[in-house]
Amino acid sequence: MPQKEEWALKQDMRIKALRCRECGKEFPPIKIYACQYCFGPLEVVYDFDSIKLDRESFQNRPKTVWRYHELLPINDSTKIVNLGAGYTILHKCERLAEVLGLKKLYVKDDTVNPTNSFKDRPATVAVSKALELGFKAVGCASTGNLAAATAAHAAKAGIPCYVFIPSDTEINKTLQAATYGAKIIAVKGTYDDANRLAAQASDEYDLALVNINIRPYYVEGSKTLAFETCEQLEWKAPENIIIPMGSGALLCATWRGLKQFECLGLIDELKTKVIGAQPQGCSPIVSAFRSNSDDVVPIEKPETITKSLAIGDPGDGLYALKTIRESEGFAESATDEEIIAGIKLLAKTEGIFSEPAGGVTIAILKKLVESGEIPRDEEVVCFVTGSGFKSSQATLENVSKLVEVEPTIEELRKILK
Amino acid sequence: MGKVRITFYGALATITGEKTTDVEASTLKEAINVLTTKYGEHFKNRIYDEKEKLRRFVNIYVNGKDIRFLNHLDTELNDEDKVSIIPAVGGG
Repeated sequence: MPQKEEWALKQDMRIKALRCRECGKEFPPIKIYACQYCFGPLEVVYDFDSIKLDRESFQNRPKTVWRYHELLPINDSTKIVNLGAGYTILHKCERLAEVLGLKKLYVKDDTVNPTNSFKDRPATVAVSKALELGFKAVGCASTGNLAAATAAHAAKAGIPCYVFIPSDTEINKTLQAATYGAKIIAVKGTYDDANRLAAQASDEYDLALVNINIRPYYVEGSKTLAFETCEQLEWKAPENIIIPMGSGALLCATWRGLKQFECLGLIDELKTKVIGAQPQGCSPIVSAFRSNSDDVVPIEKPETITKSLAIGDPGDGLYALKTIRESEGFAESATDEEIIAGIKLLAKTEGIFSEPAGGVTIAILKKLVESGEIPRDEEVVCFVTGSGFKSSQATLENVSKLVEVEPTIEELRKILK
Repeated sequence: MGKVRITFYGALATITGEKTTDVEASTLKEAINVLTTKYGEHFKNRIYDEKEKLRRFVNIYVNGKDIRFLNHLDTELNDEDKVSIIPAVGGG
């Protein structure tokens, strides 16, 4: 049986500082979220000398993100709010690989997380950190998935939750968050409008907005996707990873996770190509990549069926662009039609029902294999980050209509001819 | 030329020592010059980088609209416009 773990309750020295990703200035790891000099975003700095981990360390650990607790920014294990996020299946996708003419293809299926998207990973870390920092209420700005994830973890913690979402957010996601008891603030406008309003609210109310004023800690949760992928590939990083991009934060966190595993010697030298995937109707990072620019120009009104990636002003856009270039990867976009085809292809070949973001990933996999940018003999891991049930409008309009039948065997024979 | 209300958010309000102020200016750039005279160089250094470019994580909105979708720092200001300066919006 796995052992219950109670790790260091004392303020340990593992978390050294918060460092500005723009200017490099360091701050103590407390309740701040932006550089006090240039307002750049902060990232958690760990003291790797004090972290002793080898591959055997992970035997008999819980199958959740908390199996990597030394690499997550929580000091007090009693504050952890755990719904079981993480350690999702890495499917070996032989049928889809065959269709695309690839040798080795895997899908990391994050649709099976507690609230059915990868956002449970950052939410478990951020809500736990909010409790550790003494907040009495949480919230977020969200395109829908984070709203549900934050609301569920807040419910488990027994604290109020306020979610700021664009008013055209997919109804399933809204209902899910509301059912967990969150106060839904449906903002008339885009995600960026909702996000800005949430940032203004964090000034006025004592709220831990997980992706705003808890953001340095929040993003740490997402890197567990990289840890698990390596562990499930028997301690190696894949040759290619395709990651959907909204803000670009998941892509950056994945790279950070891979680097940390490399730094700890848990994987060999990192040679992974990171591929960022966006829907064509909201692809500011892809546009910058294509035009070889260092400037991610925001989009005022995203237009895409992929609501979860409809972030016109991506907070981590420039960092995602740098990561893609550093890893010698690519950024690519897919049309709504290609996205729907991607959803169907994944469902029909592998039995995985994804929301449009997963369709974007599969569509771009197909494109890059066909163009030769992903060589057919290289291994590819695709992140599928949210369940199809969350945004069924997009897919329901595109599946075959129901054929009704009288309950007689004669009638059945007619339609199954 | 307009009399506009500026609201500061986050760590910026700590620097100005007040949440709102009214200034008269015809463009946003001019308004920031007025604010620099009022609050000093350390205000300016938070808003602009060494090349006098608006810092990437300083977001400015005129009547709720991001100035990157208006005329950036050359956005004209009119009477009763509301300007919000919000550093480090994050998100995503």
